[in-house]
Amino acid sequence: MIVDVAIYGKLSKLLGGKFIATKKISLPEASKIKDLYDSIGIQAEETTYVFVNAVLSDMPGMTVALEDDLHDGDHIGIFSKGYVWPYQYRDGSVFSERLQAALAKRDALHHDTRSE
Amino acid sequence: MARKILRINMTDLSATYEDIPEKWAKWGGRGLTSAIIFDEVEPTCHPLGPNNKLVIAPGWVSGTPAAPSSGRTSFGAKSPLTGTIKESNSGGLSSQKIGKLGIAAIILEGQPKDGKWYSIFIDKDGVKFEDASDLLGKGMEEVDKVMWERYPHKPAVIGIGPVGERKLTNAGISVNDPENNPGRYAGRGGLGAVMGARGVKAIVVDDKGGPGVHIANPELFKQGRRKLTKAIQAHDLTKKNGGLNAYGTDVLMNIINEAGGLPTRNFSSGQFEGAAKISGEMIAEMVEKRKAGQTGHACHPGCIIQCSNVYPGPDGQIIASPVEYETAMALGSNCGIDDLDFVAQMTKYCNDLGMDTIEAGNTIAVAMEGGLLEFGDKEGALALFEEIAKGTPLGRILGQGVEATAKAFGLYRVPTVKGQSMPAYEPRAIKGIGVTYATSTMGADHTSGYTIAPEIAGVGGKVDPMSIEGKAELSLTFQAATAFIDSTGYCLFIAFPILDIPEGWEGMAESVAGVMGMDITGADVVPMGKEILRMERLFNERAGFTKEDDRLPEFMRTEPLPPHNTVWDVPDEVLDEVYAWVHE
Repeated sequence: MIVDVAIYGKLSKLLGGKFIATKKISLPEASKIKDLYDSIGIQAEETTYVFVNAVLSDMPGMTVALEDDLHDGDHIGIFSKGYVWPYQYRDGSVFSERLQAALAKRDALHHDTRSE
Repeated sequence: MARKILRINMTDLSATYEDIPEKWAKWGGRGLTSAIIFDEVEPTCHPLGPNNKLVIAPGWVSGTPAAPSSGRTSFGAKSPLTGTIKESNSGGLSSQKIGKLGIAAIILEGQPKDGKWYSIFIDKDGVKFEDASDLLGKGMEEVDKVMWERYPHKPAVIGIGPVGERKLTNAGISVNDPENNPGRYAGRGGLGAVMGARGVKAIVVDDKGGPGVHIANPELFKQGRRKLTKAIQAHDLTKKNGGLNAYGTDVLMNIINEAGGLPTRNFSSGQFEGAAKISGEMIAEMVEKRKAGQTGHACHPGCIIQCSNVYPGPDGQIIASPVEYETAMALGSNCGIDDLDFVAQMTKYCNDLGMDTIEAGNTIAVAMEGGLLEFGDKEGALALFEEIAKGTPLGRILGQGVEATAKAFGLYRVPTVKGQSMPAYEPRAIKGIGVTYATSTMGADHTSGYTIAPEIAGVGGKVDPMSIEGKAELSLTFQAATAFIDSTGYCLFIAFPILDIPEGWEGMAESVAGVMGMDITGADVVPMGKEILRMERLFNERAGFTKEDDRLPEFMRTEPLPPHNTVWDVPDEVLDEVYAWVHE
């Protein structure tokens, strides 16, 4: 399958970008998000927001999207650390089922943005 | 020294310093502008007539030493754009200087009998009225420059451009930044037209030798200031080299686009193929590549977030400051324009002519839908600003904003609430913000409902982002917290760290309590915010607004928005719950 990837922030360097990088990437059939990360060299904990076809699939400090299936033609948007999507501009947007289930177990307003 | 009210009457050109009445004594910023408008302005008055007033108030902590990011000035009036009460606030130099003169609020009322235009100079010795006929027709770049040449001590310059002089409903009020550029705006709601209707081109404020801000409890103030500063410096979004500092507010462009919520081509899609080209990351790249301009720019002295930017052109010359996310949406994606240089040039026009960039961009988008231009026609869009500058009949229509332009072009798809066009979050894709757009006392406003964590606000329990249940209470809580923060003088962006870091929340309340000598804590924030909202809501009711005005445009209920293909489906009953408490 071929997926369309956009990486924002520091991780874009992995695809040769300065602040943003986009690339079409070929992956074996039945690949998952974790396989995409492996092919690029992304550590999951270095990501914050991850979108698959405009569906929010991961959030800062959660890494619940690793097992999400990918399909030919998917668009995946990956944001590096340092990004925050404030709750009031996110409330009521479209989340993946896996992320919804994970959020149901914790504070849905969660940002996880305090630095070490 | 107790704070004073400075009442400036343009009918007889008088200025009086009044003791602040008990009923207003606890308020600052938005709380004070709304309290004064509520008490002194007839809700049914014509916004451009003799009975409206422009109230200018620094926040509670503005002008105090080292309160972080505390340079917001609130401007209040009955809005000619919405017909509602309005508070629009700005960064720049004015808040701290007005505060240091010991002034709680300036009330600008009346209209010159002779029809002349004036500038007003305020310093520690009082108020001077000066003939402003030499400034008429001048843009704010020149007005700011002239005022710094005319007066010493690098004063604050509050002014209106030609659009405000013509009293058009997209006229904003400019405040100069530390470099004396006119990019800081109380943009929304047409308050520049209210200032123009008082016959005032500019207000210049010099705080040299002023008494300073009285701090009732210095130890409590310092304690609060320390906690708040620490929270801002620890949060990923607001710390040095954090998201806002590195990329500015336009850091949200790619996120909202990836989420399918970016207004595109007059709110017909939630994704724009050119979003990355007009994003904050691209601004940072241009600043680096062109070796000019700046990210991490401070819009007022003492800001530690520094989210503003200075955008350079291809030749290294500065085009405009700042290019914000809202601006890049309205003048960019919503017009189908993916060229930052053009977005910056249109921003420069807005800053100089004196217009809100959100309303201006959305107006061009509506004109594009009306067939005046093709979406994406950047040269054509830029040329429309010349029409506005010249004051041609078309320029005057465009200067009135989205609703007037949509009527002129016979359009049905009009993305406004209570006459004010929507900011950069599509409510069909991001439904929570839609509740706030619909019910805000200000019309469609993205700054009306900033998040605070439920446990901090006392809402309690978990909030399911996918459920409509609880949305009304949540929106009300957000709106109330925002009304409080808008009263502090702190930038609303402190909301990000104090959401996540409870000590920051306490610190904000303690710093206010320390300045004002009020016995308040973090627990008082939402109740006090609700007091402000109640005044605003009652003013609007008396102006003729009902709950039926708390609705999003009809087309959003029937027209699915790509890529999620969702419509606005939050029931009216939920919207009606938000302000049901006002008469309880």
